[in-house]
Order: sequence, then C-alpha cells, then structure tokens
Amino acid sequence: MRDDLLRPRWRVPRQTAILPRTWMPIAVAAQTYVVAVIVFLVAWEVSSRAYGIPLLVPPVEVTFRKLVQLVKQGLLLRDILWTTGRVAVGFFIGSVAGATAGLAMGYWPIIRRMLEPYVNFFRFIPALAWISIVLLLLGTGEVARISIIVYTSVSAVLINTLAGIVSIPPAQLRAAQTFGANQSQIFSRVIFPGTVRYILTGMRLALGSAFMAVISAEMLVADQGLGFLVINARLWMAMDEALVGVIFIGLLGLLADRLFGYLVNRYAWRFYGGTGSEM
Amino acid sequence: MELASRRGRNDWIVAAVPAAAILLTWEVAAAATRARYGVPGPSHVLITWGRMIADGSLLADINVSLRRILVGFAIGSALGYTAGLLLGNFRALRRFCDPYIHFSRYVPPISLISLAVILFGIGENSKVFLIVYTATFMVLLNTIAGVHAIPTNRMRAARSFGAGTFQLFTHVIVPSSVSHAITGMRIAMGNAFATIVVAEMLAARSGVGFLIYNSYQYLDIDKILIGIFTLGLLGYLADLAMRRLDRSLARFRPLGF
Repeated sequence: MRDDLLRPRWRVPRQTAILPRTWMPIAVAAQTYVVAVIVFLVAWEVSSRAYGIPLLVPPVEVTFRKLVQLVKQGLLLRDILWTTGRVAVGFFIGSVAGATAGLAMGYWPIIRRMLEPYVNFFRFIPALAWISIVLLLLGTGEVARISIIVYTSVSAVLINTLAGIVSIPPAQLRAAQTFGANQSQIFSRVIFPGTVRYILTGMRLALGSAFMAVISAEMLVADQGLGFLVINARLWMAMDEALVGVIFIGLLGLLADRLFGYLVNRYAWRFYGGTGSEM
Repeated sequence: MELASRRGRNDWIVAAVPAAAILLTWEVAAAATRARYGVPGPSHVLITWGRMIADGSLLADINVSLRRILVGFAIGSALGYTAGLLLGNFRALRRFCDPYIHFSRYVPPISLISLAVILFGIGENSKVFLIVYTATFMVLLNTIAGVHAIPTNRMRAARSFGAGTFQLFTHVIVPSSVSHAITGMRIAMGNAFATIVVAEMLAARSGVGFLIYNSYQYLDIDKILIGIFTLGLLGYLADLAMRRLDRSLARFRPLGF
C-alpha cells in the first residue's frame, strides 16, 4: 500500500488483494481491537486523573458502574429498543417511499420534470429543521419522531435512486427496445436491476442519517431512547451517563451498518456484476 | 418513453404547476381560516421575511450560525485532511487508529452535545466543537479513500522519474487526493447544517436553529418557515461554493489528476 512507495528506496509494492476490501485475518483484527480498547481505556483513565474533576471527566470505573446500574434498572435496554424501533420503522417506510418515488420519476419523465426541482430544493433542508412544523401538525407523539426519520430516509434514497436511473447507459435501453421489449419489460429488466445498487447505497446512507435524526429528535422531544438518555444526563450533570449513551449510540450505528452490509452481500450480490458491494 | 434524460425548454412550467397549486391552496385555506387558526398564508410569510431582512434580525441569526459552521468547518477540514494524509500513507498508524475511526464515524455529532456543553460551556466553543467533529471524520475518511484510490502506476511513474519522497507527496499524493477531500467536505457541510440546527435548538440563544425553535414556542409559524427556507438556501449556497472550489482547484491539477 502507500507507505511502501513513500520509502526512499525503490521497491515493488506488495501486491495485496484484488478485491477493494482486504480481509485481515480474524486473529489480527481481534488483536487490533483489543489493543485499541485497552489503549482507549488507559488514555481515558489518565486524562480523567489529569483533569482532576471526576464530575466532569469521570474515571473508567465510575462510568462502568453507571453502565451496570443502567443495565440492571433495564433503562439502557429500554432506550436501545426504543431507538432501534423508531429507526427500523422510519427507515423502512422512508426507503420504500424513496425508492418508489425515485423509480416512478424514472419511469414517467413527466413526474420527474415536475418533482426534480423540489427534490433539489428540499435536500438542502436538514430534517430536524422541520421539527417545529412536524410538532404543530402531528403532535408530540411517536408519529412526529418517526416522520422525521422518514424524511431523511426518503431524501437519501430518492436522490440515489435518481442518480441510478441517470446512470443507465442509453445504449442498454436502446438494445432492449431493439430486441422488442415493451415499456414495462424495459422497466423490470433494465431500469430496475440497474438501479438496485444505487438504491442500496442510498439506503446505507439513509441508515446513517436516520440514526443522526432519531438521536436529535429524541433529544428535542421524547421520554425514552438513547438521545433522551444523553440529553437527560446533561440536566443532572451526569457525565458518566452521557458517556454510556454516546458509546451505545456508536455501537448501535456500527452494528446496524454492518448488518445492512452483510444482508446486501448475502442477498443482493447479483446486482453488483461481480465487482463486490464494498459494504 | 424517453431514453436519455432530456431537458426540455419548458421544464420550469411543468415544475411550477404543483408549486402554484400548493401555494394557491395554502393562501386560500389560510385566508379562509385566519380567524380560527391564524395560520399565515404565503404572502404573509413573504412580508415577514422582508421585514426580518429589513430590521436585520434574520441576518444576525444567519451571521451567528454561519460563523459557527465556518470556524468549525475550517478547523475540522484542516484536521481531517492532515490526519487523512497521514493515515492514508502510513499503514502502521492507520492500523492503530482504525478501530477508533470506525467507531467514531457512527457516533452522530449531536449526541456529543451533552459532553460538549459540560466540557466547553454553553458558549460558542461547544457548538464549534460539534462542527469540528462533524467535519473531521467526513474529510478524514474521504481523504484516506482518496490516497488509496491513487493508481499504483502513477506512484511508480513518479518514482521512475526520480521523484523523492517529498516530491512524491507534493506532486502526486496531495493533488490526487484533493478531489476526494473536497467530496468529504461537501458531505461534511451538509452534516454541519444538520448538526448546528439541533445544537442551536438545544443549547443556544441565537442562530437560525434557535429562531426556528423559539418561534415554535411563540407559535410564529411564518418565522418557523422563514428559518427553514433560509437554512435550505444557505445549504444550497454552501454546496454551490464547494462545487466551485472543486472546479477551481481542478485547474491546478495537472493532466487528469
């Protein structure tokens, strides 16, 4: 890789895998992560001692005890389930709606010409900017929070679906027409299969922004969820609780992303033409 | 069925129809129910918009939000690009940092707000910190990808022409990875807007996010909408600026770098 070439003496760079993604042996990976966690914990402990105010930078032990306490009370599990549930529902609705709208815009040019300027306008408005309007229209219940997630998911999936439709080579469409495919066959055999990988990329991005949106929404209006856990901790100056919340938000996002990548590689590989999904 | 994406001359007429229909319905409905609900129509929103620009209150909020974003964005991009070049080029360093990067990229910046406020206070610093965090990781990840996307033969070619390590760095690695870094900056800019809005709603007394949330508490629907549209406009302009930057930097990139 790159540092081979940075060495002053000329050397043929080591050939790594042909695939864009190299798989480190599991033992090396495990070792890397164990080392990373240990280094992190030591650095945390040292900075906590150096800072000298346990209330502001709580030591590892205090935070860990808080974690155990939150688990025992069942609060952590409750918050994780709420956050996951909201993301799952909003992400599902948003992805389906975004892909449907995107494909409809690809199928009927008139719809595309009608809607594209609006897509380009609304994509620059962050989802959470709508929260006041959403609260006024939909109340402060679950529907409001989920609709924010739906909004972020729709825009990410829709924009990527449109990009996918544009990317289909006109020659492919012409070839299909030459072979006598009718409009619906062109859609089901050319446009849709050619767009799936873009839809999946959009969904992966949407998953990330869905987590961002759900945490923000829970911070602003909610009584449960990891976002609520973190913002509530601020009221009590409970740094340890906030830290536990942040760590679990990160873990949850990581897990969801990996799960999505796994599912794509397992079930949608045929849409990638042998190049690998890079997920 | 249209084959390629053809752009018609009268595209805007087709696009304007739904907008006109929505605005008209909104105006009529608002006028009809004004006595009962007091929801402002589009004309009312426009008037308020003009008034807020005239008395400078909107510009003050924009100024505050933009300054937070730009300061954080500049620091974060510089940090991210530097770190990205280092991590992209030195495998040992990357292997050491990989777990942290992989974890941190899944932590939404806004979730750090409690920590930021407790550690940096409720002033500007906590907001700027969140934007720095937002920008750093996006730019970092994209710069690493950019360094890895440099074709090995390009490095080899530079080496065979006698480039030293420093020249390889300044003539190949930096110019080749700038475009990726700017892509990261574009995404980071979008995320920065998303972050600052919530941060200002939760912990600020100024800025466009505060305008939206504060107007909600007074039920000033026109001001809420003005805040939302202003954000959209700012986001669009920022994206435009990033695209311009990419294009103007492309001029200095020799031969398709």
